[in-house]
Formats: sequence, structure tokens, C-alpha cells
Amino acid sequence: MRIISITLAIAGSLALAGCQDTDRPLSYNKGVYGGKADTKLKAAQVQTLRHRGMQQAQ
Amino acid sequence: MARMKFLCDAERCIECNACVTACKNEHEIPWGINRRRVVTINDGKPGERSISVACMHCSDAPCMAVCPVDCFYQTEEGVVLHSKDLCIGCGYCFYACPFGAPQYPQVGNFGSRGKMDKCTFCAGGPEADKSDNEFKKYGRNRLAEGKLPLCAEMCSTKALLAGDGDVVSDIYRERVVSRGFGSGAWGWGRAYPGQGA
Repeated sequence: MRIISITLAIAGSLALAGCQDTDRPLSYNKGVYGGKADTKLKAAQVQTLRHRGMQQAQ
Repeated sequence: MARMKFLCDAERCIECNACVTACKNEHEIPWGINRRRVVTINDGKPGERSISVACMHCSDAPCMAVCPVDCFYQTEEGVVLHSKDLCIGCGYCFYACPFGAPQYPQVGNFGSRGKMDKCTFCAGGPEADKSDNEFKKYGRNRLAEGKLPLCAEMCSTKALLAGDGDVVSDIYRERVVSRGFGSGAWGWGRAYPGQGA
């Protein structure tokens, strides 16, 4: 009886673990972006972009 | 660094649509989707003006305000981007946007609407920079390569300017001063009566 209940508990927890939807955020905060974080540009990249922008004056 | 901005000089735009073509080609955008369009008023008449329009990456973006799943975010450079993993394709952003920037690809039969697609200022999306996933979902990430949006970089008359807002406004201000008749922009005469076109 004990073995059966332990087996059922393990099987149940495994089955419930499979129910998780990991691709989408499960909690929602209004007005807060909940997706993947973007990579920030480095200072050197920003400087390059600024210089490149100045070339449009020609 | 100021915010990244687009500016289309109506006095220089010749309606060649090269910006539209370059955008579609660079990001391999499917049929039926145009992230950028050239709009012309008074076509064939005196006073004809054309401007190239895409997402203007608004500072207080209405698309962000109305999105029911908050799939939009702004980068530190002021570029408005969104996550296609979160987008539900509801179309609210399309109604809110004054420029008609959000686009929806057709998915499946019966014309069902897919995830929203729009100009990314060639900054990709939230996926890893320069990854295949990023390219497939959002297009090329030129900013990470140290390049500005292709639509502006290849504009033959330099009508379409892009980049740091301070740099863009400096360039435009110089043009306006050297022209001596105002900016040539739509609404200039109404905004500044008696000061040129």
C-alpha cells in the first residue's frame, strides 16, 4: 500500500511538472514588458553609429 | 547619445521607393508586408510632396500604451521594439499608430492574422544579436554591426536621414538655413506663417 502511494505521488508530481508552459510568461504585470531582455549596445557601437550618422550630411 | 530618429526631407524625396525595396530585401520581408512606404500628396500637381514613412519610434509610443499583453519595449537608444513571442496579433497597435506602421502577415487559410511586424530601425529584436532566430523573426540587426538603417544609408538623395536625433537635426537645420525658404516640410507654412514654404 505504501509503495503504491509513493509511486502515485512521484508519478503525479512528474505529470504536473509537464503541464508548465515555459515559453510564455505565466504572471502578468500591467504595463511591464515580460519578454526576453534585449542586448544593449556597447559604448563603442553607439559612437560608431554617431559617426556614421554624421556622414549623411555629405 | 540622443534617441534614434528618422527624418524624411520632403524637399529631397523623389519617390523612387528604393527605401521600400532595400528594407524588404535586407530583412527578407514576405509578400504583403511593407515596413516602409512612400506617401505622395498632390501627385502630378503643383506642390507635389513625397515622404517615406515607417515606424517613427515615438518617444511616447501609442502602440506600447494600448498593447494588452505589453509586448513592446524601448531600447536605451529610443528604438521601439516588440517580442513576437508575446504578441497575440490583436491589431490594437495598428489602430493606435498614427503612421500605420504595424503590419500583419497572413498565416494559414482564410486570411487569419499573424504576429505583428514593423520597422525595427534595423535593431533586430529580443533574441540574441545576429542570431538566426533574430533574423527570421525581426530581420537583420544592423545597429549591432555598427550600421544605420539601410533605407536611410542607401537613399540616393539623402532625403531619408536616420540616427542620433541630435546629429539628424543638425544636418536638417543646416539644409534649411542654406535653402533660405523654410524647410519645405509639410505644414511649415501653417506652423510659421510668412516664413517661406
